[in-house]
Amino acid sequence: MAANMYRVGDCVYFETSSTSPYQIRRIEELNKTSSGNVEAKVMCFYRRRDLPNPLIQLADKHQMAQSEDSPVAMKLKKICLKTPIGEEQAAQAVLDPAIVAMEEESCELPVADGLVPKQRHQAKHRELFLSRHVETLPATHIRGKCTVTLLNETESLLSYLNKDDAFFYCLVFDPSQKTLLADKGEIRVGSRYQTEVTNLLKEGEEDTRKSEELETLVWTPEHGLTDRQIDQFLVVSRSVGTFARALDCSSSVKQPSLHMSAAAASRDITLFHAMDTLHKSGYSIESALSSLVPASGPVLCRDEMEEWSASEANLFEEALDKYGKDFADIRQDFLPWKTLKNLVEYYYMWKTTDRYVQQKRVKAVEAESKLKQVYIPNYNKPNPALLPTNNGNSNGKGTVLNGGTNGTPAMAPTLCASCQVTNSNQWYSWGPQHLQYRLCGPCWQYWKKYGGLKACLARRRRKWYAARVPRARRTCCPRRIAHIAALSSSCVPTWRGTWPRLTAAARARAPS
Amino acid sequence: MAMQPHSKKRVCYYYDSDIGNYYYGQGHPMKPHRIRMTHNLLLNYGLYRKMEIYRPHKATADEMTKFHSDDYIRFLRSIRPDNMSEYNKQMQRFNVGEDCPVFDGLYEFCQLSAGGSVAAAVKLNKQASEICINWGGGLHHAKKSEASGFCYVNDIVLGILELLKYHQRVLYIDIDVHHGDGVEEAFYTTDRVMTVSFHKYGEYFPGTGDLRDIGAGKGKYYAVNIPLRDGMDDESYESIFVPIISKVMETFQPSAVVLQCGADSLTGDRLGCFNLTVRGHGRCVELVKRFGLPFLLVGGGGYTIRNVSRCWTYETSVALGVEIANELPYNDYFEYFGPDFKLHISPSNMSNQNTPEYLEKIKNRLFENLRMLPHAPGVQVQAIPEDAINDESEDEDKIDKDERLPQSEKRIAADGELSDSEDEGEGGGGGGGGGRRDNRSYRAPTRKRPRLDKDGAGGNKDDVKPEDSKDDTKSVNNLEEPKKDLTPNA
Repeated sequence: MAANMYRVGDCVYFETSSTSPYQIRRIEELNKTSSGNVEAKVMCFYRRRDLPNPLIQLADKHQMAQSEDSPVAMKLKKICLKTPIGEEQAAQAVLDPAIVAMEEESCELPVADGLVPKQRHQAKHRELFLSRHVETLPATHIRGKCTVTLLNETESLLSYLNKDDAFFYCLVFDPSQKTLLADKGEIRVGSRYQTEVTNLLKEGEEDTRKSEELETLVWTPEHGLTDRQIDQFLVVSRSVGTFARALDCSSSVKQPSLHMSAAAASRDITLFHAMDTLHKSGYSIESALSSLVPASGPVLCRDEMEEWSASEANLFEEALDKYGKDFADIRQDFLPWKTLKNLVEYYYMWKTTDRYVQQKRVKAVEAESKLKQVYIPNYNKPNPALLPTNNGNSNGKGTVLNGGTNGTPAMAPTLCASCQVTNSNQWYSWGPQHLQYRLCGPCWQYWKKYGGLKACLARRRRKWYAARVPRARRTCCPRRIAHIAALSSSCVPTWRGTWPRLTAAARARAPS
Repeated sequence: MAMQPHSKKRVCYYYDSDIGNYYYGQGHPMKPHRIRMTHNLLLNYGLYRKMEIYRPHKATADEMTKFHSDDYIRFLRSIRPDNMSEYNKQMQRFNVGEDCPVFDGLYEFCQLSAGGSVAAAVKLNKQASEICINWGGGLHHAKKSEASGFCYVNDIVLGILELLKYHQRVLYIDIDVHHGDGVEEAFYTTDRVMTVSFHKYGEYFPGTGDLRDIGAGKGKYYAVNIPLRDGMDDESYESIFVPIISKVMETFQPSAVVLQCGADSLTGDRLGCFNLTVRGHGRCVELVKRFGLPFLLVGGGGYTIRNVSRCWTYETSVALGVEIANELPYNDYFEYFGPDFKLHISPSNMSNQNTPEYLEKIKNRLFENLRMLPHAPGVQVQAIPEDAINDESEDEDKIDKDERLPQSEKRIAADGELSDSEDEGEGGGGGGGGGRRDNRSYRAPTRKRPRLDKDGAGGNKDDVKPEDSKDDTKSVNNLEEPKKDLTPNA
């Protein structure tokens, strides 16, 4: 079941509270704990509803206030942050240019079918905010996969709405700093960044570059030798190398058998040397051969692998155990007679040996706690918010909304608070207890996944609110905004930070 | 006949046997050792013997400051692990420390990497080679006065600056999984270098490379960014690479190309998130090679080193036009390639977040931008037919080696000598496309070089010409074929 197999890198829904929408996380690591459970180290995506909405305005203000040179301002300028005007927008601040476009478009259109505003409403549920915040959650809380991609300007938001579990993001939210930045670097312009471009050489102008000063030829294909001849010469070089090892006392200790000598003489260093010899001999096999056996005896090429004694090798392994691959420390404390280059070369060759392979196996066992994927079966337990069936007549209490301004009866609980259907196989209690809202099955699913209501319920209620509260009062009371925000998502927002004090001031200055 | 997937080219390869021993530090993903692994594979595959192999010089501070600022290079020259503490402030200023650590031999490493790319560019300028390879180069993040993303000295910018002495327009293509920001920034305001980068975009280093970043000033529309998402596979990659590069060639008409072959776009890369195979990655090399322009191949990222060396070995074989076996030859690092010990790798089952619709939209937007380039309308993509070149080279073999010009230059001469009218007549069959061929070909020299004059009128060139143009058309079709296959709504 590929669908239930979750891999590192997947974006997934996590359920951390039965009544809140899922949290959207990307799996960074999967670790087996000592108790046998799997923990997921995840990176957080935030929903629009999770953000403190004044943040957006602050970011916007910041952009205007900053000089052109501020990198933050520059970055922010690149994305179109729109100042929210009334709290209607403040509750769901418009951020993305594509959304802006969509809204403007929908305003121009004679909204007859009501489809466009609904899409606009839903598109907001698809926007996430990337963060660098990492947390650890039990993998069993995974509730499915989703995709999160950076919104590209060529894409329409509809392409996200038309796909289940598809989200986009444009901005990066830093929950600790409470900042919002575009996920975008910039190419800087100015003489400090660009190069001076070389001019084309003019007619007759001499190029001062001389290849001889820039390179040394070590091999040319224009050698007149056949492949066969080269191969033969390579075999001869190896033979000479084998014989040279037979003559060499130190080699005979390291390579007690002829077979081992031949293997040592077949390493790449001998082959490279052979090629160099050919080149230096002007590709004359004869003269190359004679330089393989100079007066001093047959040529012996040894790389680090062969050069090192058994005790040095042991020291190295011991050092590697102690210091890891800090070769400078290894050299200083264990093998001061070697150079760093000796150590690095030896290290990469040592990795081909059995001893390394064994060590790797040990490591592999240790690394077993790190998983690449995990299987999480579908979660079938009923949600506590699921209402017992045939429970349609508990309404009629006529709850009054708080706020101290005006009251209004809550919606009839038999209706889905979102889509208004009266028939559903399942009903879920939703929202603050005393309001007794309920959602039909599909709307509940939508709520869990997208963190909002399918239909634009909040809008209706805000209209109600707008009709009763004078505009002036609305615009300068952050508590009300919080109240509206809570209403529009009808649940305690996940954001639990205090509203920044700046907000009120910022809002007061905001054009309305 | 028109497009042999592999055709023989004169290839120069730059390598210093010290390169593998530079070590960024414990746990650092950048491992110069991968370049040595590639080198050893090349030897044992028998590709080594088919190339000109050069040990590059160590680029001097003077050469590096053609792009980099003096104080930055002075800093790189003086900083060592044992005197780091004296340079705290500068380290911060030049972004050296974390991603770009101070390691033993850092400056030498930069010298070799840059030395290779500069020497290679000079080689191409002198027409002493058609394809140059420097796997030790490709450090595309380095900025004018700043290290970035494991890169200190931008060998690519230095190489391109060299190419600009002889080439009016140079094309830079970057297939590293990261955005080629250093090169893009260096040439952001010029119209003589077009930078085209295919990269993962969104919550990813270095954060630049938005579709909307298109260059500035005179360089507006000369930076092309293809922002991609996780899971790019061979098919999707080609479906975007082919049309974009074809269109770029057509509109920009460069006379030299630099391809950054960062291998972190391969599947299973330690830092990457694409799903390309060695074949898919190498396909880009093949496609660019077909244009027959002076071609500089450099390395770049790549952090699963066994795959990096597989990839660059294969791409060297593609550059050489030599087929190599899937069975890896025995070499010093053979054990790295277990358990299968094969050259080619399989993609993973990761999902591809780049839908055909997404890629199509990106492509169309980029096409709109490319239309803004001031180019002659109706110029056709002209991939150089390989067989024509080969025919020529046969004749050429008779010429004394020193007098010999690389084939591309011959073709330049041929193009230059033909008048437009001749071409127009030829293209008459195209009807509406009258004058479709512009003599301002990307291969046409913008200035005559002394050596060209010496070459004079090679009588046989006119004979070659008509065949050429026929093949041009054919090759275009071939090149675009995959696109038709892969994007159903194209």
